[in-house]
Parts: sequence; C-alpha cells; structure tokens
Amino acid sequence: EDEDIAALTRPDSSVAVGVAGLSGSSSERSFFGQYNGLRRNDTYLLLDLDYIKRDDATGTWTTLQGRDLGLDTREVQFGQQKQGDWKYSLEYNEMVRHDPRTINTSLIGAGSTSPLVSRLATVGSGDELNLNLKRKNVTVSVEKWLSKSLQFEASFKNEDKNGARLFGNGFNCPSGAAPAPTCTTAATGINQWALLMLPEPINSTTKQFDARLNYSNDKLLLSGGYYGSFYNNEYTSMSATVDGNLNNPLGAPMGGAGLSSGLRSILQLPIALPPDNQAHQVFLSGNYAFTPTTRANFKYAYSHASQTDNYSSFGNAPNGRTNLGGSIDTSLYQFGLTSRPMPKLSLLANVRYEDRNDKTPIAYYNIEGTKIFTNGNYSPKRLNGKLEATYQLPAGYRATLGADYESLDRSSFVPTNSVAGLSGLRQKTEESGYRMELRRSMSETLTGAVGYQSSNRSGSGWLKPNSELGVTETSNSAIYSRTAIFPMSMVDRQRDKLKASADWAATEQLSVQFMIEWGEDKFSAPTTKGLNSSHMAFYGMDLAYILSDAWKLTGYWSRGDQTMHVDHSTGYMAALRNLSDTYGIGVKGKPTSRLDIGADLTLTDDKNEYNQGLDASASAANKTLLATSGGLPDVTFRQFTVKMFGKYALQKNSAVRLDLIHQHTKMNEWTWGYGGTPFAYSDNTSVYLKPNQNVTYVGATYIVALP
Amino acid sequence: ADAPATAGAKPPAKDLVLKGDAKCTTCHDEADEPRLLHIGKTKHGTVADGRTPSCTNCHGESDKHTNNPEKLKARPATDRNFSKGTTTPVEARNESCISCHRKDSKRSHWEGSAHQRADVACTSCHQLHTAKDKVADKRTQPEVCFTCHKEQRAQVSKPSHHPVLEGKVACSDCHNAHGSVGPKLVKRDSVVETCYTCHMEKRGPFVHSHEPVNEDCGNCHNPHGTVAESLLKVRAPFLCHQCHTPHGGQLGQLQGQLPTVPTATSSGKSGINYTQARGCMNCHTQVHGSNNPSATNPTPQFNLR
Amino acid sequence: FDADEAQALAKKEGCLKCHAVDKKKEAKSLTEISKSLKGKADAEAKLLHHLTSGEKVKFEDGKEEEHKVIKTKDKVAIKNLTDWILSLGK
Ligand code: HEC
Ligand code: HEC
Ligand code: HEC
Ligand code: HEC
Ligand code: HEC
Ligand code: HEC
Ligand code: HEC
Ligand code: HEC
Ligand code: HEC
Ligand code: HEC
Ligand code: HEC
Repeated sequence: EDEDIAALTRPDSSVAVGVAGLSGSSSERSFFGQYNGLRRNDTYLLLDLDYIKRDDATGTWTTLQGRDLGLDTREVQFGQQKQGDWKYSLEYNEMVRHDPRTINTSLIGAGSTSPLVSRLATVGSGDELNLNLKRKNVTVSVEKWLSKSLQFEASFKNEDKNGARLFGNGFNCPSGAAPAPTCTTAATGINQWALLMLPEPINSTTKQFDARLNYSNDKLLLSGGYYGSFYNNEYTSMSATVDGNLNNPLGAPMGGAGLSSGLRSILQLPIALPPDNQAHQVFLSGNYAFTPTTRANFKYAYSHASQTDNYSSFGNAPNGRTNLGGSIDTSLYQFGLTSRPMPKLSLLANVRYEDRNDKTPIAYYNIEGTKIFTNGNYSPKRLNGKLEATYQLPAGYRATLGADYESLDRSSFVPTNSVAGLSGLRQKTEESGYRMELRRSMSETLTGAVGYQSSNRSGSGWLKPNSELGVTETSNSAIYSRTAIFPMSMVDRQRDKLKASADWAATEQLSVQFMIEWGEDKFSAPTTKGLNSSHMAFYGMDLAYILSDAWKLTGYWSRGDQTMHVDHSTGYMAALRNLSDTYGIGVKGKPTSRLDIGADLTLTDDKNEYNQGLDASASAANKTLLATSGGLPDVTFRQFTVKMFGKYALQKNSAVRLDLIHQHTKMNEWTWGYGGTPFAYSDNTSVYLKPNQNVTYVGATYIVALP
Repeated sequence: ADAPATAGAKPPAKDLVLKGDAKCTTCHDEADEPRLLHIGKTKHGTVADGRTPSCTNCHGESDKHTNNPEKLKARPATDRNFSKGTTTPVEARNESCISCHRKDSKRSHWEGSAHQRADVACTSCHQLHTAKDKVADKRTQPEVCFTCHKEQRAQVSKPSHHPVLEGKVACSDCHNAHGSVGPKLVKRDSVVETCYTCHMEKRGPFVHSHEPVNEDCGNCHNPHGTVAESLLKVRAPFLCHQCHTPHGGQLGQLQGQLPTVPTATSSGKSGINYTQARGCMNCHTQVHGSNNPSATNPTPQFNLR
Repeated sequence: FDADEAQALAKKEGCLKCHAVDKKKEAKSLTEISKSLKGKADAEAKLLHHLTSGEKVKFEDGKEEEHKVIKTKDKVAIKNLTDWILSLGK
C-alpha cells in the first residue's frame, strides 16, 4: 500500500524507443521538414529519455533527459539540485533550419567566402543546392542559496551557428554610387546590370554570460548582476569571382564584349558580413512593498556595447581607421508603482526611460560622385509612461481606464552625414493615448471583456535632406513635391483599436470562447504617398464539448483580415490585403482503460492580394503595363495537417504508441517565378519550391517506465 | 482520572505527500483522486526543502470545509479554490502563490504586468497536481498560451515562422509571462535586445547602419509568423515603400508577365528586379547594416555590400 | 451488477473521499459497512434511504454532519452501486 502511494508521488522516469518512416522525397517535405529534423532521410530512430530521481531524505534531484536523440534536433540535459540549497545543470541542444527552397545553380564554392560564378547555359541545368543552418548550443548553469535570503545564479551559453543562407548581390550601371567611368568600360552600352545568387556563409559563435545575486526579505527583492554577450564571426567578408559573361535582361548573354570590366570588378568587391561585437550590462532590479497593498518595482541597467572588428579584409577604409571603434552606452531606468488605496480601486503608474548614447567616432566613409560624407550615429532617447485605474463594480465587473505616453527623440542629425532615399526625417515623435476596458472576471457561466484604445502620434518639424550634407527643418506646406514619401515610423498616426472576448460555459458539456478585434491606423504626412492607412480585423471562436467522461471534442476557427494602403511616389497605389482562415478540430478519447487515442485536424488557408491601382500622374508605360498584365497575382498558402495517435498500455509500466501525421501543403507565390517559369538570376541560377507537397509520417514507439 | 480524553482518540493520521497534509489527505487520498497526490512528483512535493507548501498554503486552512461546523448540506468549499467555476477572486488565488514566489527574481515585475492587470491567474497557466506542468515544457507550452492568444496560434503556422510548433523555440524564449521591463512582456529590456539573444549579429553598430533596425525589429518583422519569407510583414518592394522614395517608377512586375519585354539594356532597377527573388535586397543586401568601410567608388553607403 | 462501473460512480460522487473500499478512513470502509448490513432483509432499502435522504451521520471524532446525498438520479446506476456495496462483505 505504501508502495502504491510512493508510485503516485515519486518522480517518473521512462525511456521511449521507436522508429519513424516518412513518405515522399526531401523536396516534398520542404515545409514539413523545415525545422523538425525530418527533412533529409526517410527513416529515423526515435529515442527519448527521462531519468528523474529524487532522494527524499535530502531533497536532492538528479535528472538526465534526452529528446529526439535520433534526429538532428536532439537535446540532452543533465543536472543535479539540492532543492533550496544548490543546483547545477548542463544542456546541449541542436537546432536545424533547412531552407524550404532548392537552388539550381552552377555556382562553385557555395557557402564559402569565395564562390565562383559562371553562367549556366540554360535555366535548370545546374546542380541542386539545399541550404541549411545548424545551431548547436551548450548551456551551463549554477545556483546557490548563500543564506535564506541570498541567492546566487549564473549561466553561460555558447552557441555555434553554421551553414549558409540564401543571399546574393547585384548592381546597376551607371549609378550615383558608381558613376561613369567606374561602370562604363563596356563595349556596348552602359546600362549593364547583374543580380547574383551567392549564399551567405555562416560560421559564428555567440557567448552569453549571466550572473546575478538575489536578495529578498519580506518587503524587498533586489536582484543585481552582470550580463555579457559576445558575438564572433569567423568570416568578415565574402568576395565572388565572376567568370565569363552574364545575362542581359532578356535572359541572353550580354552582347558585344560581354560583361563590362567595370561591372565585373564591382560584383567581385568584398561584401561585408556581420562584424564581431560585444555588450556588457550591469543591472539592478527588484520590488519593494511599502505596505501590503502598495508596491513598487524598478530596474536600472547600464550597457556598454562595442564593435571593433578589424577592417583588414576590406580595402580603402578612411585614413587612420582600422576599425569602426563602435561604442554605444545605454542606460535604462524603470519605475512602477501599484497600489490599492481602497479595496475596490487599484492604481498603476509606470515610467521607463532609455537613453542610448552612440559614441562611435565619425569619419569620412562615404563618397558619392564628388560628395564625401561621414557615417551617422544614432542616439535615441525613449520615454514611456503609463497610468491606469481599475475599479471593482458589482456583479464581478471591473472597469479600467488608462493613459499611455511615448516619446522618441532620435537626437540631432550628424551634420556631416547625408540622407539618402528619404524625403524627410523627424527628430522627435510623441504618442499619447487612452484606453478603457470593462471586464467580467467572475461568473458561473460567462466572463469576458470589451476594450477600446485610441492613440495619436505626432512629432517635431520635418527635417528636409539638404542637397549636399545634413538636414534643415522646413515647414510642411512649402517645400515638398507631392511625390515625397515619409517614413511610416515617423509620420503622424491616429490609431484606434477595439477588442472583445467572451468565455461562455453554455452547458455542463459545452463551452465557447468568442473573440473579435478590430483596428485602424491612419497616417498623415505632408503628402499622401507612402503608407496611408492600415486596417486589421481578427475574429473567431473556440468550442470545447465534453461528450462523456472518456471523450472530449474541441474545435476552432479564426479569421484575420488585414489591409495596407501603400502609395508609391510615381503614381501607383497598392492595396495589400491578407486574408487568413485557420480551422482546427480535435478529439481525445479513452475507449478502454488501457487505450488513449486522439486526433487533430488543422487547416490554414491564407491569401495575399496585391491590388495595384494608378492615379492620374502615373506614367503611360505603367498604365499599359497594369492594363495588360492585370498586376501582381495573389500569393496563396494552404496547409492541411492531420495528426493521430494511439497509446496502448501493455502493462502498468509499459506502453506502445503509434503516431500518424499527414500534411498537405500548397503554396503559390510569385517571388521565385511566374506562370511556371522560374525567376532567373544573371547566371541562370534559379530557385525552386515544390508547390504541392504531401507528406505522411508514421512513428511507433515503445515506452517503458524505469524503476 | 488520568487523561481519558486521549483514550478513544485515534492516532494522528499520517501525511501522505506534503508535510501536514493529513488534514486533507484523510479524505483526499489515492482512493479519491490519485492525480492529487502527483503533487508529490513535483518541486512542491520535495518535503526535505523546508520552503515547500502544504495543502493549506494554497487552499487555505479551510476549517469550514474539513469540519462543516454549520452542518450545511453542501460541504463548504475550501477557503481558496482554483478549479473552473471558482468563486475565489483572482487576486486571492494569486496571493497563494505570490506569497512564496514574489521572492523569485523572474517574477519581480508580476505586479503591474499585462497578465496581472488582465486578471490572469497563475493557475491559468500552471498545473500543480501533475508531474508535468504543460507550460514548463516548450513542446506543450504553446497550447497553454493559445488558450488565450488565438492570433499567435494562427501566425505560428504560416510558412515563415520560428520553430515554435516544432518545439525548438518557446514563447517564453521571447516573453516573460510574469512581467518584464520591455514592451509586450519581452524577456529582455527591449525588443531589439530580446532578438539579439539569438540574432546577435544584428547588434552592430555598423559603419552604415539602418535606423529602423536599431529602433525596433518589429518595423519590418512579425516574430510570430508570416507568409512572406524571413518573417517579413510585407513583401518587398512594398515593405520598403513605407518609408522610401526609391529610384525606378515602375509597378511591381514579374519575369515573363510583361506586355512590353525589357530591352537588352533595361535598367536593373526595373519593376522585376525589385519585386522578385529577394526584392530590394537583391542589391541592398545589408538591410540590417553594413560594416564595409570602403570609401572609394562605389561606396557601400546604400548598404549595397 | 458491474463492479467497475459502481466503483467509478462512487469515485465520481466523492464517496471514496470518506470511505475506502476496504480500509478505514474518515468513515468506515464500504466493506465493513457491507458486513454490518449482511443478512438484513431491508439492507437495500436502508442503503437507498441513506444515500438519498441526507440523514445525520457521526464521524469518529464526534462531529456530526448530514450525510452526502448522491447526485445522480439514475436509478439503475444507484441500484448497481448498492448491489456492489452489499456484495463487498461477502
Ligand atoms: C539592381 C539593383 C537595385 C535594386 C533592385 C534596387 N536598388 Fe536601390 N540602389 C541601387 C543602387 C546602385 C543605388 C545607388 C544610387 C543610384 O544608383 O541611384 C541605389 C540607391 C538606393 C537608395 C538611396 C537613394 C536613392 O534613391 O538613390 C535607396 C533608398 C534605395 N536604393 C532603395 C531601394 C528600394 C526601396 C528598392 C526596392 C524597391 C531598391 N532600392 C532596389 C541598386 C538597386
Ligand atoms: C471530511 C472529509 C474531507 C476533508 C478532511 C477535506 N475534504 Fe476536501 N472535499 C471533501 C469532499 C466530500 C469534497 C467534495 C465536495 C462536493 O463535491 O460537494 C471535497 C472537495 C474538495 C475540493 C474541491 C474540489 C472541486 O473540484 O471543487 C478541494 C479543493 C478540497 N476538497 C481540498 C481540501 C483541502 C485542501 C483539505 C484540507 C485543508 C480538505 N479538502 C479536507 C472532503 C474532505
Ligand atoms: C502549490 C499549490 C497547491 C498545493 C500545495 C496543493 N494544491 Fe490542491 N490545487 C491547487 C490548484 C491550483 C488546483 C486547481 C486544479 C489544478 O491546477 O490542478 C488544485 C486543485 C485541488 C483539488 C480539486 C481537484 C479537481 O478535481 O479539480 C483538490 C481536491 C485539491 N487540490 C486538494 C489538495 C490537497 C489534498 C493538497 C495537499 C496534498 C493540495 N491540494 C495541495 C493548488 C495546490
Ligand atoms: C509555501 C510556499 C509555496 C507556495 C504557497 C507555492 N509555491 Fe510554488 N514553489 C515553492 C518552492 C519552494 C518551489 C521550488 C523552488 C526551487 O526549485 O528551488 C516552488 C516551485 C514552483 C514551480 C516550479 C516547478 C518546477 O518544476 O520547476 C512552479 C511553476 C510553482 N512553484 C508555481 C506555484 C503556483 C502557481 C503556486 C500557487 C498556486 C505556488 N507555486 C505556490 C513554494 C511555494
Ligand atoms: C501567462 C502564463 C503564465 C502565468 C499567468 C504565470 N506563469 Fe509562471 N511560468 C509560465 C511559463 C511559460 C514558465 C516557464 C518559462 C519561464 O520561466 O518563463 C513559468 C515558470 C514559472 C516558475 C518556474 C520557473 C523558474 O525557473 O523560475 C514559477 C515558480 C512560476 N512560473 C510561478 C508563477 C506564479 C507564482 C505566477 C502568478 C503570479 C505565475 N507563474 C503566472 C507562464 C505563466
Ligand atoms: C522570436 C521572438 C518571439 C516569440 C518566439 C514569440 N513572440 Fe510574442 N512577441 C514578440 C515581440 C517582439 C512582440 C512585440 C512586437 C509586436 O507586437 O509586434 C510580441 C508580441 C506578442 C503579443 C502581443 C501582441 C499585441 O499586438 O499586443 C502576444 C499576445 C504574444 N506576443 C504572444 C506570443 C505567444 C503566445 C507566443 C508563442 C506561440 C509568442 N508570442 C512567441 C516576440 C516573440
Ligand atoms: C488565461 C488567459 C491567458 C493565457 C493562458 C496567456 N495569456 Fe497572455 N494575455 C492574456 C490577456 C488577457 C492579456 C492582455 C491582453 C490585452 O490587454 O489586450 C495578455 C497579454 C499578453 C501579451 C501582451 C502584453 C502587453 O503588454 O500587451 C503577451 C506578450 C502575452 N500575453 C504572452 C503570453 C504567453 C507567452 C503566454 C503563455 C506562456 C500567455 N500569454 C498565456 C491572457 C492570457
Ligand atoms: C530563442 C532564440 C530566438 C530568438 C529570441 C529570436 N529568434 Fe529569430 N530565429 C531563431 C531560430 C532558431 C531561427 C531559425 C533559423 C536560424 O537558426 O537562424 C530564427 C529565424 C529568424 C528569421 C528568419 C526566418 C526565416 O523564415 O527565414 C527571422 C527574420 C528572425 N528569426 C527574426 C527574429 C526577430 C525579429 C526576433 C525578435 C523579436 C527573433 N528572431 C528572436 C531563434 C530566435
Ligand atoms: C528595415 C526593415 C528591417 C528591419 C527594421 C529589420 N529587418 Fe531583419 N530582415 C529584413 C529583410 C528585408 C530581411 C530579408 C533579408 C534577405 O533576404 O537577405 C531580413 C532578414 C532577417 C533575418 C533572416 C536572415 C538573416 O540575416 O539571418 C533575421 C534573423 C533578421 N532579419 C533579424 C532582424 C532583427 C533581429 C532585427 C532587429 C534588430 C531586424 N531583423 C530588423 C528587414 C528588416
Ligand atoms: C520604418 C522605416 C523604414 C523602412 C521600412 C525601411 N527603411 Fe530604409 N531607411 C530608413 C531610414 C530612417 C533611413 C536612414 C536615413 C539616413 O539616415 O540616411 C534609411 C536608409 C536606407 C538606405 C540608405 C542607407 C544609408 O546608409 O544611407 C537604404 C539603401 C535603405 N534604407 C533601404 C531600405 C530597404 C531596401 C528597405 C526594405 C527592406 C528599407 N530601407 C525599409 C527607414 C526605413
Ligand atoms: C464527507 C464524508 C462522507 C462522504 C463524502 C460520504 N460518506 Fe458515507 N458516511 C459518512 C459517515 C461519517 C458515515 C457514518 C459513520 C461511519 O459509517 O463511519 C457514513 C455512512 C455511510 C453508509 C452506511 C449507512 C448506514 O446506515 O450504516 C453508507 C452505505 C455510505 N455512507 C455510503 C456512501 C456513499 C455511497 C457515498 C457517496 C455517494 C458516501 N457515503 C459519501 C461520511 C461520508
């Protein structure tokens, strides 16, 4: 009998071993196998381990856990802990991303820092290239209670990331960045351009170190420590070699003497890869109880980040600079107060201030024709404030009224820098708003909430780029041509949002959840171009039905509908709409005391519409173009997944489990091709994705409890 | 004469799992609902750790429940009740937990957090009488969050997503559900700092940086999932057109779709080359910033390499 | 009668919180109760009355309570339960 109780209260250990088989080729599973480690092979070993032991006399735990040990997403953890005294643990974790798209190319040395490009005779006749990224990380953590009120915690995490991702470069001659004659040593024409697919080689290590000391007594919690993060990239740059000729825009080799030496040398210039960087932070945070009903929480953090990766693999850095000398100091202050002055009233106030101070030296890095200018730096100060009051009304209702404020001061523009591609900048933007909510948090059968939120963003005067360097503040009306575009993150914005949700226990068996969300952003800038407005709606419901003690049914449906109006400077207007439905049905049952079964069906149906229109100022060319082509087609994505499992208990301590997954995915996108013709790079490299994918997975495991 | 009061009394009942649980387990033992005793398998069941609770720390002393002194027909509920349909106010329920867990540094900002303000109970997420708390395991955690967050449920199954459903990245890798100093409960102090924990290469600073990147990754990305590649909220060129007046006045166009084919010398900045493949990034490769210092023509200032 | 079903009902109704099948808890074990009713002609009727009337019962420590009234209205299920209880003492 004591043994029975012990079995109920003793931590469980078990091992599960089995095999899995998958149907279809690797390209048939490119969505399914993107992250789950089941892309490459057709059969896999399934192995999971849970060893959890507690020595009851001392309260000491020993754990050894392994997940997916047969896949390249494996995880292993080992740890020991004397609860309330000390703890250490070691974790190893692998993650993999297989790019769903397959590349067809003649590139040699893909994924290295020196790929060799040579034109493929025809699209599709090259070798297949699949790109992967693999992360492997190790975490070590320790914890020690130094006294009843003092705890020390530390952890160290090392992550290696290896592989390659879809990348590439391109250039166009002539250009403001490379005016004649740099780009014109060609036999025919100066309008040469090229786009190349060059995978980005990735071989980097990140290290994170965290150590803190926590002090607590009845009123105060203080937690202070250090967090350091270190990024180290094996590669600083990559340079391609381009052999022979490339295609012109018609997909045929460039005429005359072929690829101009000007453009060739530009395409072969080193491309920067992310530089090493490091950041150190010290912080102090915690909370304090003035009284049992009035409490404060706070945080102060100071960070110093630097980036001093050597320029040696590039030529032509400004005189005297061997690295950027990047240096950014950031201070963060936060203070929050919550109080219940009366039993029915709760109040909240919160402020947060972030002060980033960019101390990176300024140097003449840029040249555009005859214009030379420096880098910029960016030292924003961000202030957030929040006030809120909640009042308890009769019948379980609670009403909340809140006000929010945010300001962002981007600091003054470095006068020796130059703005590109933007019609204006703003130093400061400010947003303030209010919200209200009515919530019913307790009732036998119906709970729910309705809320409305409104906020308004505006800012300081627009800074117009000078024709040479720097910016000048200018009034809205006077200067801008009607085609100017202003950054959506800076323009005035009126935002409104409505939300409602309800949980309804309709009967003993049936419960229903409803939710609706609606939102609208209206942007106003000195012109009507750029992002104008956006709308969102999201609604749906969830059902849960208890058929009997042994059977339960769930189901849901939700729909998202978002539209964005982005108007281009040259007369076209885009209305981008995303419509997305998600459905799910699930059933779980226990037909006999030994058997558990379940099934889940989900369907995602997603459509992106790219409606383009033209206004009066549109060019004749664009008018014909839209009239004849009908614009961009929809991008659709549809995925149906069914997952089933059955688990049968053979004995008290062993069971068998069968899993079956079937997934059907259909994707139709124009990004990498149109009407069955793949988009071709200048060397005839193309990128492919099987638009219709069917995968079936069957897994069988034997699970046995360890004594 | 000598202490008859104890004579007929039964020996003190034995605790089954927690210290002092006999008050409850005389009734709630393995015959009642064996699952209750599973609390013994958890950290709360480590009796050797003097800080662990007894039944009454969470449910209250509950004398009315144990003795039913008013002899009510329906046995009065425990002082604090957590199951569905409970009448214990959320704050009282949470106080049961917070009384011990306020001392954890990870919960220092619970008070005033979005979940606390929205009356979410600790036990909306945590299960206590079970060996495996669903929310603590990254493979089962999303199910818990999705009981409330339906929009994220829809987003994580879009083709470009973090491996959340695959069990490799958890909601709690980015969010501290117990409250944080950053916006939207992000785990570190700001959105960018949170993303840097896994994408540290984006920290820079760079020779040529891109302002919106330093400001908020959310300007361009939706971390929960999108149909466009790289979790981009919108595809290029439209993504970039929200801020930029770029060169080239054409509509987005597709190779093979054109009524007027390009000529052998058409500009590379045509509607095709900034719409297809990587869009604007076909040329502006370093959207997150470039550390290329070269100050000769052509300079990489436009994040071209 | 179906013993599994009877036990499941007893559990669902919360009987097992106070009575174990064969060991003493807050109240006598069902087996012991069954034994004490053994041979009595009106045993079944008595049981039924006990379970539906909420008559006073006395705990060992002297406190008194109205006995729990069975929630289900399913006569067949109740009969199955009482038959099972009565069988335990044999
Ligand atoms: C085929 C290569 C190519 C493509 C595709 C391309 N650009 Fe550029 N971009 C350049 C080059 C080269 C420059 C340098 C200046 C010039 O030539 O106008 C440049 C300059 C810019 C500038 C700096 C200021 C200016 O307008 O001259 C911005 C902003 C810009 N591009 C945005 C975009 C956006 C947004 C897209 C996509 C809609 C895009 N580019 C697509 C090659 C390209
Ligand atoms: C005298 C027997 C007895 C004792 C002692 C007892 N309980 Fe109960 N408990 C019951 C009964 C009977 C029910 C079912 C009440 C009902 O269904 O109406 C119950 C129900 C409960 C429930 C509610 C279950 C639900 O779903 O609503 C909780 C929680 C609970 N008990 C906790 C405790 C705790 C904690 C203690 C010790 C402080 C305790 N009980 C002591 C008999 C007891
Ligand atoms: C750490 C807090 C905590 C402790 C300690 C605790 N409980 Fe609970 N108990 C809960 C919560 C929360 C629930 C709500 C259901 C759930 O999450 O499992 C619950 C539910 C219950 C229920 C109702 C179960 C049902 O069927 O819904 C009973 C009965 C119960 N507890 C009894 C006990 C007893 C007896 C003990 C001591 C052995 C105990 N509890 C210790 C937190 C606790
Ligand atoms: C009387 C103290 C006490 C109370 C009350 C209490 N806990 Fe705990 N809890 C602990 C201790 C001690 C630990 C173990 C901490 C450690 O690992 O060092 C713990 C651990 C946990 C853990 C981590 C479990 C794990 O497996 O890592 C969770 C989650 C938790 N508690 C939630 C709750 C919730 C929710 C409540 C309220 C319903 C609650 N606790 C009430 C003392 C308490
Ligand atoms: C919205 C969901 C949610 C709510 C509400 C919630 N938690 Fe958690 N909790 C989590 C998740 C997710 C984890 C695991 C990951 C983590 O540590 O953040 C966790 C982990 C924990 C842990 C153990 C982790 C550790 O190592 O410290 C404790 C203890 C805990 N929660 C206590 C509480 C208490 C007490 C409350 C109420 C004040 C609460 N939780 C409310 C989601 C929640
Ligand atoms: C890769 C990081 C990451 C992961 C993983 C992640 N989130 Fe988020 N989440 C964010 C960031 C950043 C924001 C705030 C920015 C925004 O709203 O665009 C956010 C915002 C939210 C919001 C607030 C949305 C709003 O509009 O107010 C909710 C709710 C949310 N996340 C839930 C979840 C859930 C549930 C999961 C797990 C399925 C999850 N998140 C996983 C990064 C992440
Ligand atoms: C019981 C319901 C519930 C569960 C479970 C839940 N949440 Fe929430 N969550 C809420 C509510 C209510 C809000 C407030 C939403 C609002 O105000 O619009 C919220 C807000 C959020 C926000 C936005 C915070 C902000 O500042 O606006 C994030 C992020 C979030 N939750 C993440 C999570 C994660 C991660 C989990 C799972 C570990 C989770 N939630 C589980 C109910 C829940
Ligand atoms: C817990 C770790 C983690 C955090 C935190 C995280 N990511 Fe990721 N992210 C990943 C992993 C793993 C991948 C898969 C590819 C890889 O390994 O790089 C990924 C991939 C991506 C991708 C490429 C997706 C694709 O389909 O190609 C983008 C974009 C991205 N993350 C953005 C973000 C942003 C923005 C944030 C912060 C809001 C963030 N990530 C935070 C782990 C993380
Ligand atoms: C101005 C828009 C913009 C902002 C802001 C932005 N990104 Fe991106 N991000 C992109 C684009 C565009 C891509 C696709 C790049 C490509 O195709 O080469 C991308 C790709 C990524 C990827 C996948 C490819 C890779 O480089 O590994 C990650 C991870 C990523 N971004 C993280 C972040 C993080 C972290 C932040 C914030 C610090 C951020 N992004 C901010 C536009 C942006
Ligand atoms: C949220 C607003 C925003 C979005 C979206 C955005 N940008 Fe920018 N971009 C800026 C700002 C602000 C600058 C900085 C202007 C300056 O200081 O020179 C900038 C600068 C640039 C520059 C010039 C860089 C330099 O060093 O001068 C290029 C090129 C550029 N962006 C390309 C892009 C591309 C490509 C995209 C789409 C992936 C994009 N931008 C999306 C706001 C944005
Ligand atoms: C809260 C505690 C409690 C619960 C719950 C409870 N009982 Fe009892 N029961 C008692 C006590 C006390 C007695 C009388 C003293 C004794 O027998 O120890 C009793 C007596 C009985 C008797 C004997 C009656 C007699 O006339 O001798 C039967 C039969 C019985 N219970 C069956 C049940 C059944 C069936 C249920 C569930 C529907 C149930 N009990 C639920 C406490 C309880």
